[in-house]
Amino acid sequence: MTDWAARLYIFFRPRRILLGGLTLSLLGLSFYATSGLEMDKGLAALWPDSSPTLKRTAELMDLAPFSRLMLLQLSAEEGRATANLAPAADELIAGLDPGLMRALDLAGGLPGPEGLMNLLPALCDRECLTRVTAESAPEAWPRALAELKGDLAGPSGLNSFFWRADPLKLRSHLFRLFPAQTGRPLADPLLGHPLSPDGRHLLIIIQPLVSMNDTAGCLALMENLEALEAGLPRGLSLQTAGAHRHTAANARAIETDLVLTLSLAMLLILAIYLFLVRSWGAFWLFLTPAVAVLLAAAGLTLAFPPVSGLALGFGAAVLGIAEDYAVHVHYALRRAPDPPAALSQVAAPLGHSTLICAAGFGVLLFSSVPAIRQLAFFSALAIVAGYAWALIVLPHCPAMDRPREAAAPGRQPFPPPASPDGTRIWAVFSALAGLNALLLLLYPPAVSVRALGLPDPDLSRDQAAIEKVWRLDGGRQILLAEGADLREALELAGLATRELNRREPGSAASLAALLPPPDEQQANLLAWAIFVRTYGPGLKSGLIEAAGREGFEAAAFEPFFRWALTGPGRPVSPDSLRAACLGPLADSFLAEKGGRHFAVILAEAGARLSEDFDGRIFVLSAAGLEKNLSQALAGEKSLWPLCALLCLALLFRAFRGAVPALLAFLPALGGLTAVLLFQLLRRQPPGLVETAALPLVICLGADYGIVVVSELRARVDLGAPKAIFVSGLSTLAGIGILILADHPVLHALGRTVFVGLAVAMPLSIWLLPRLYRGRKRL
Amino acid sequence: MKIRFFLILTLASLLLTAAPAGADQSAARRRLISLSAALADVQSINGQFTQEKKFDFLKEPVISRGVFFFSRPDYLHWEYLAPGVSGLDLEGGRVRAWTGPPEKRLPQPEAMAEAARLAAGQVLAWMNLDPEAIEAAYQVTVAGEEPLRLEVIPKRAGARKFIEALEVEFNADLRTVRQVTLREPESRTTLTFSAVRLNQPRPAD
Repeated sequence: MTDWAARLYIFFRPRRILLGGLTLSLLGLSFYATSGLEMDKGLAALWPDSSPTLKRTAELMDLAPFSRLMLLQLSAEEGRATANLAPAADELIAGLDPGLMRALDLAGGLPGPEGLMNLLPALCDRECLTRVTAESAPEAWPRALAELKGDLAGPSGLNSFFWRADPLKLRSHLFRLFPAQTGRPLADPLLGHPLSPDGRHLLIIIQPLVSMNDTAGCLALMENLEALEAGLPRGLSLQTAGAHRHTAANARAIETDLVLTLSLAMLLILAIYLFLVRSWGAFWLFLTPAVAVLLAAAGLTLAFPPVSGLALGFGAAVLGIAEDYAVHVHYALRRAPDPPAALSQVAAPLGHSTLICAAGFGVLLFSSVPAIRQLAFFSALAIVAGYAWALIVLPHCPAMDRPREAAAPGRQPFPPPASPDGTRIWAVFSALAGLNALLLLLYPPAVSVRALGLPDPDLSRDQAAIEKVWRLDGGRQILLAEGADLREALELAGLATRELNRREPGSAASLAALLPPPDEQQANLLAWAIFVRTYGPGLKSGLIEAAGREGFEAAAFEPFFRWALTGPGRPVSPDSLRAACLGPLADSFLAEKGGRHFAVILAEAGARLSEDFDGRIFVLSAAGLEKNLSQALAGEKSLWPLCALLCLALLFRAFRGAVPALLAFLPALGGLTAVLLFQLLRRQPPGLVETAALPLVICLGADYGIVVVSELRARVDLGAPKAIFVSGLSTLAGIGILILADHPVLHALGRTVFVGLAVAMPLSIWLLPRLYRGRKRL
Repeated sequence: MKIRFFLILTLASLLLTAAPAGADQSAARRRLISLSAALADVQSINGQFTQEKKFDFLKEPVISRGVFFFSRPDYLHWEYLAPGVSGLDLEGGRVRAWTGPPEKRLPQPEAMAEAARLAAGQVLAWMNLDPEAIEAAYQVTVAGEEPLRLEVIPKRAGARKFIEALEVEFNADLRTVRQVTLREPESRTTLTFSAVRLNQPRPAD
């Protein structure tokens, strides 16, 4: 069974052209398959799909209008002229890429008084109409008209704006229906943009047209804004805040980190091969990861369309393990008398290692995070591809099949068989396992999504500055009421808003009161029509007469009579709100996706609804989202222990005995202990990345253990220590180098692998032979 | 409405002290530049005003009187004393609008204070007297020489829905403004200033 590699070698030795042709064909096919790769550059693959609530939240995240806006603040430097703020803002808005974003028109269409008051008849319920009737009765006119004249003489502000359309001040019945806390600063009508009181800052609100999960879109959007910022006049600066900037910053950090670390890794690996391998065969070793990437990427393309760009990026980073087998085969070929002998010696241990590593990564297929599942599949494929390449193709490559290192004459590298010192092996294993248990007890893994994001002090600073200048409360949460139609969504939003406001008056706002159900509006319009028939004629003639006595012309209140007493009145709809110049309000509180309608409720942070609303109202608060995400990711903590147990079980099966299996597992256990101990010293419990990276440490540690123990048991010198040293160093260079990354996820991945392997490598090279041989020295 | 009201204030803040103007828009710009330089040492402006509003649909004009006090960098007190007592104070971006005499002062609703805060940005921009800032929002031309009159028109169509134009007439000394006339779609407001003084200490609240 273990001779299959040797037999294949012998078969292909006279048929190398055939093997080359087959290999090139496979690589060509893989290249062809990979060319059809559909790359998903979004972050959606990082959302756990095990929780329906979270899945829904991910879908709805883009829907909440408030959460997808970006705030741009144009500021003049201290002591600099603020003159060009508005022209610069106009220029900046003109330069926005219309395919990526649009600026909200905060100044356009200040609502006209008559257009606004036109909404009242359909919205005035029985209680409202009773008050309107009282306030428009003849006895109320003298006081109202006197007040009106007083208002016109003073800084009445909006009062004089409404004086002809609403002399009796009925607008209060309409205004109370408007959602409060829309949180949108008013534009200066002269400049067309909101200007801060000190005149130094100008606000632009933009609505991105790309999803905040679309990294490519966010990058393009930020590049557009940065180009516009670069073109600003001297003395002006631009600050931006919003989820899209965060996405772009993360994507950039990951891209920069990967480019930097992968380049460094390539150089380091090249240096390792040049100085340690010192053979032309190093070229093929260097080629191995590329071959493995190509084959694994092809498999991933066929299995998971579309492929997560993140999975592919991280997967490429963990390919250091794919060339491990090639290194082992390389040293075995150099030590063994002939290639078939070398291959028959290494095929079995490397086969076990492949099985264990693939199984270890296979455990990650149970992850709730799609990107981790793709990463696991990619890595497992790469390992199998690396194994096949190392044993089938590599021995035939030029400079690979010639033994270069003959055993030194007279040297007996392996002494006569000695029984493994089972007691000591058990003792060391128990000690390490106990230490592990203690560490896990003291410092259990804690999964938090907070650690996954790139801490961006610039973004935090800009956001805080913008919120401070415009007095925005960033702590509110968004609730989405869903319905098959607008009416259903609004009714639900109305119920929820009322419940929240009952508990905490003024804590929630929605458009439900401005858009009551059609039948309710029809009843209001009917009642208003009866009011007009009953009181209309008297109101008009009487008010004209009374106003005349106060010096008002007869036509002064024509706008009032037009909306209040003429015509049947119209129901209020989103379109009629837009016609009344309330489009931004309607668009902020209403949304539609996939034929479903959503009404937005803006509530205080931490506001909670009763269980009646469970499953019907989705909360999009940052805190709630973080909690739900952390809960959904909690299952990830159990994957690495599962991987460790599976690994141990496969070692038992491979060695058919407890002592060698435990011995082979020691490097993995040591690496695991080192990672946990390191986290304790950092005073940081192992997080999501650390727990996701632990299977890698376990598999690599087990890989080293298998090779060393197999060599010890076979009493054949296949150069395992040197192979482990070289492949370990190259893995450290490939993955451990990520410790230099700025992005917390990549850094944690690199740190975990670095610490784990830094312990697993010397354990396998130094400790394992000594434990195996007992007190005897080589 | 609020925009009209604050345009009066902002223009008054600019033009209560003034330098002579030329005959066209570029001349007006030069005047604004020299005015800006001339006002560099002005820390405060205060005085009295008479406001006469003529509405198309009101037989008699509405006349009111009051006092004002501007102080750099960001203080404004504007108070009507007759026929009713009302006014506002703004400082550091915070606005208090009120009605009634000091002993019975009632705060105005939040919405009005917010509207006033918005306008405060313009007031302060004018107080800084940056010609470029002024020209970003207004088109200024010289309408007459003796007495000197400037015509100020908002550049944005949205603003012109409420304010068609302002006319500013200077005193013969060309140091202070005599009158500001605001033309609106259905009304005309004239503010006449008197007893204007510069660099007076700010009164206690």
